[in-house]
Amino acid sequence: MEILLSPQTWLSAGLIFSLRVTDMTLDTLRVLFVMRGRKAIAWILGFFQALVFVIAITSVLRDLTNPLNIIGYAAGFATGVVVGMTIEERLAIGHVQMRIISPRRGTGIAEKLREEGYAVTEVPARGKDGMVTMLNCSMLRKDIHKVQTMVNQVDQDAFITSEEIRPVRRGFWRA
Amino acid sequence: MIQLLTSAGIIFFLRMTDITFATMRVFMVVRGKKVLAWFFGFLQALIYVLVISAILADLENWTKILGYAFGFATGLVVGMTIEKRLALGYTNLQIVCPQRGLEVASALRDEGYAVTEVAAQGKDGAVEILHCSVLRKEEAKLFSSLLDIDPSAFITAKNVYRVQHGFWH
Repeated sequence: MEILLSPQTWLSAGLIFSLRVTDMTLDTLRVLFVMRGRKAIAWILGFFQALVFVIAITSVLRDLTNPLNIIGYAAGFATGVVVGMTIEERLAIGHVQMRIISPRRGTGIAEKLREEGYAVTEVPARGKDGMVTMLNCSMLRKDIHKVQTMVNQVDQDAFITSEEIRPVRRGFWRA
Repeated sequence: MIQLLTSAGIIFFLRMTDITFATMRVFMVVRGKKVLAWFFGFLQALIYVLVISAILADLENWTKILGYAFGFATGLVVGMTIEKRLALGYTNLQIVCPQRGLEVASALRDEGYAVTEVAAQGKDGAVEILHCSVLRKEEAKLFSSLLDIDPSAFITAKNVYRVQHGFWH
């Protein structure tokens, strides 16, 4: 029990915790960049992640008698994952394609989005209760919420899904 | 000898558990589930420290190293299997029907799925493309009822994020 009272052990556990938060933040970002094919950023993140990891794991293994070190290590790991996810969400790198299905106001939505500078492709389609319009609109991931608000201003009941895409060529993207 | 094998077995088992959690964590990260990602990450790191210290304390024992490697590989597969069973998230199915598009659409609607039909052109004339967004869990059930009606249907699936509205079966 006396180990829990010494400030020294709390200090080393805290250090390991923050090292692990840093390293897992980098790791989570790296995985998300690898999935999007960003090689240069993935390399840099991977390098620093491995560097910090080696320091963190050796400090834990040096003193396994201190349970706080182990808990600090695990909690740091888990927290780093969440921090990485939050940063990635803020950055919102990449492109998405939004598919909007509207029973009545498809043309209105398309006009509104075009006015704002987005490229929209309209496809006539049929749903359960007759004709509907299916709109395809590709945009930066950052813009999802803005576009969703615009769609809602025209049609509250539009059905919207989004998926991640990679731009191949041409078309226009709103800057 | 027996002692060697039990310790290798324990390492195998721990490593398998650790990597199962790790695989689950990555899936949760990709789907943006922060609480579950934290939870799996914590367990993963906790077990990992125990395993790695046991291995590094005795690097001359090759059975432990084998147990470690087998545990790693098995954990990946177990994690993937669990994730497939859980089938979290949403899927968008695209069904291309050369002949019986209308029937497929109405059959799916009868079962409570939302379907959007689009008329299109294929190699041998008019076809119908059906778009249907479903829970990933429903996917397999839907395929079998689909193929009963139109065996020639061409189906692809992709993961989507739900943004708003519409109805889900």
